[in-house]
Amino acid sequence: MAANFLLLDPQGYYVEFEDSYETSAWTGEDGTVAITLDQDAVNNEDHPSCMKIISTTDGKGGYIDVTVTAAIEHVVEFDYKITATQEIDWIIYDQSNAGNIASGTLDQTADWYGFYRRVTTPAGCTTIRLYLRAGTATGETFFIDNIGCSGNLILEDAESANYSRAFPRQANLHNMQRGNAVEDSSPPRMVFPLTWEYLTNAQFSELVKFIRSNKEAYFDDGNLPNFVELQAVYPENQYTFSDVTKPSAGSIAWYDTSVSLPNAESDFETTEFLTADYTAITADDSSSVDTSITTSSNVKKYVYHKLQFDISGAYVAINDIQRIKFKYVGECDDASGNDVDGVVVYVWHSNNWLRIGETTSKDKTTVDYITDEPVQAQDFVDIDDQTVTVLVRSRGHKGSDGNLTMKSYYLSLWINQDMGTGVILSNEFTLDAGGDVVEVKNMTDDNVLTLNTEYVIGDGRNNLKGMSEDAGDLIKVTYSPRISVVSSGSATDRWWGTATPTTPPRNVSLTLQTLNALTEL
Amino acid sequence: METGNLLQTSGGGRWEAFKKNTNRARRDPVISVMVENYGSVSALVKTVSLKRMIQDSLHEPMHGSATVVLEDTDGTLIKNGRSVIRRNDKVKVWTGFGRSGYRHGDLVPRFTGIVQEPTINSATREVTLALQDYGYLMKQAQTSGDYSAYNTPKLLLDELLSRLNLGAATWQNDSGLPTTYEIGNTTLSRRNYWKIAHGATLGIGYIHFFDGSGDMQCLRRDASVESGEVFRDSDIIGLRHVRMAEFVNQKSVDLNDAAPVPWSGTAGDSLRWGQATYTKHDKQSQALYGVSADYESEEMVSGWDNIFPYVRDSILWLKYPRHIYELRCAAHPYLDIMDKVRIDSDIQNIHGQMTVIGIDEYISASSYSQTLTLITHRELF
Repeated sequence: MAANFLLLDPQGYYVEFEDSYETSAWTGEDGTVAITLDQDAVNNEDHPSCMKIISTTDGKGGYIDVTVTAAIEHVVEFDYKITATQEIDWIIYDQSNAGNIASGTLDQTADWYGFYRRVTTPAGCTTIRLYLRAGTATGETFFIDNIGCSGNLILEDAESANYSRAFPRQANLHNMQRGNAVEDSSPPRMVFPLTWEYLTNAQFSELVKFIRSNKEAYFDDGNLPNFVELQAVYPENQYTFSDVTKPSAGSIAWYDTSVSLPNAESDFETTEFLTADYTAITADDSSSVDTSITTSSNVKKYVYHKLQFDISGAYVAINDIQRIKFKYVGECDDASGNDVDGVVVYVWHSNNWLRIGETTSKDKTTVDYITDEPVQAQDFVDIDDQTVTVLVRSRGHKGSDGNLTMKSYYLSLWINQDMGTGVILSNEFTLDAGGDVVEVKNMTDDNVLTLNTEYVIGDGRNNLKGMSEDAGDLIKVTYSPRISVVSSGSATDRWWGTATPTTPPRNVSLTLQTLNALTEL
Repeated sequence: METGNLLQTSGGGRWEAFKKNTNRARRDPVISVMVENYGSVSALVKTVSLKRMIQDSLHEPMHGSATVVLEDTDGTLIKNGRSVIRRNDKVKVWTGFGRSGYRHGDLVPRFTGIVQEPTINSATREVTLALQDYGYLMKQAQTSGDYSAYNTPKLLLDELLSRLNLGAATWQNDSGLPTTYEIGNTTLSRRNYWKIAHGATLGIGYIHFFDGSGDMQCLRRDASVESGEVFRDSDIIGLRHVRMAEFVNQKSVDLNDAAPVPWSGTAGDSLRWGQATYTKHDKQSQALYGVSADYESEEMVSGWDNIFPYVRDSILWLKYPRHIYELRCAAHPYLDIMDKVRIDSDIQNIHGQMTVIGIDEYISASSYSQTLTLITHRELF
């Protein structure tokens, strides 16, 4: 009988496709299927390496066999991205008994989304085969990342009479002269004390996997509180220098050479980029804006590229800035004896220049910076003139010999990424049998939204995507949290006799403690 | 008063809600910390303690400092036994309280500065950042010589800030004395920038300090910002009389010539307005320490024509007996240096307007406490 409680095996099948052996473990269904370790070039910050499947035959794809325990609950999950008109047909197949356990089709394209299903393995099932197949068109790619298939370590439910959950809080009282108090506290967590009066050795052997793993696992006793979170829809824009021409009255860029270090916001606005330069820096490709110092009279000068985005068309109030993301690609080669290669990337920040990253290589390198904390993001915007300004400096200055050459390949600024079309939550969630959260509601419109029509489950299972609600609308998400737990204190197993020392039955106590804070209920 | 982005606007605003949340009986402290060249470390913060203070006298104000303790939960802070966050990296700290149902709380900027020293405890996997505000940078930099191109307090201070790549100061009534008062002697002796800033601001009766955003605030000493905050016994954990404030009723200048009327009744009088220990004969002090203590302001005075605001305003602020109190309370993150608060303690029978001259705070995920150093206002009856 399947247990009611779920403690997911932290040592089950789970790969993030970091190494080639993780993709070579997958098998193509026939010769028309290519499975490789690759990266999604568009979203490589979030998915720097993943599995890429291309099938030239509709209905064919790849699969992997996972050893499982029969008749217990399992969780199958993965992130996916589908290009163009492709679809993914997924099948959770009982290889032992030759029959489908569950199947379906994923048809949300062009972004990373999340898949999560809880299934119970049939009796006698010791191998699950996961199929991921091209659903419609041929020759179109789909990417898979962070895929897992793990089973329940609890084969027998804990004693119901002793199941006493606790909600400990960290709190401090400030006692006032009047006798009243102010309590500062962090949100509560949960503690689950589990006791089994009698476990067979086979049942205990599963449980001890978690105790010995020293890892966090996911726990669900079937009665976890739903979480509710609110987020407004904010205008979302990605800025590059696409379509900018010299002279520009909007977004603008300059280059300069100077012995000075960055100081004022208006520094280094000397020579505007040519239209060809704007084109070169628009895409993350092989074309770049190159600036060199070659003459000995310019010794000790740095090279500067100053890149300013005009965001006035979309943002006039500072509170409209909730999240910011920079991506700069460049290089700098100091061919002098100093050999101080690389660039330093600054952003104008409130009242001075703040370094967001630097490189030390003369090779093309990416500097990323992202923050989803509104107060931090807002400091990068000069809301008085609605600009965001990035300054790139050669790390070294011109030496007495050799040239100093800086190349900028690409700069993009993304404000409120995914906040115009989605909601990011504080915790991971679990999904119901239909692959949905509890409820998504547009509070402003008083309208409950529909899965895969008005929103899609995002990758990582902690966000929703694919919305098209109006900016300013308030979205309320109610979801069942995916509670992670660790073993708290010392687990004990007390034997019911020593007659069978290799397989003793026992009394077991184990306390689980959540790492998640219970956010607003 | 630091309000961050919470000010009431036509499109809404969280200021009233934030103030109410601050004064609730139950609160969820929230911290946000950003580090230059690294990014946000908010999820790794265990505790933050910060201290910012000016002085109750005409001596140079103190600069702020803070300590941030981070837990390296994911191995990103400590690499090869060293802290990834390095000395001189800028750090900004926001504090506030959680907002029901929202991922991020309501926050105000509380401290901005640089890392003076990161230390690692490999046993606890903690990284402790000792921070100093930008006043520390100003104390590290020295200069001397001809500053005739910067002959007003505003010009001089903004130039010094600019040399440290810091933003210009915010001046109260900046079209007044900060720009109209001409410094008499602009050939400065060697001093650190902080002392020179003290000389320039004291000379016109101003006080300077760095606020939570890292902006230098230059405010009139005789003005304070009405916060509207009233501390009653139900808001006070402890209220302690610390001492009398330093009594200032004179100021010395050494012009080597007689003071004109009305400064002196008789030509040739050696009038001295002085808090400094300086006398014109104090050459031993100059030999030992380079310059006399608190002399930076006196040095900028060249003649009787530019001594008036310098003498009048700086003395006026502290010429009556005042008292220093220490108030412990559940933290009010929006209170800043020079904010005016009212104390109404029936239990201790202490009532009156006081100005914040020091802030000492400790914040963790489960506690946010605050100690305010207060100076009483002049009470006239």
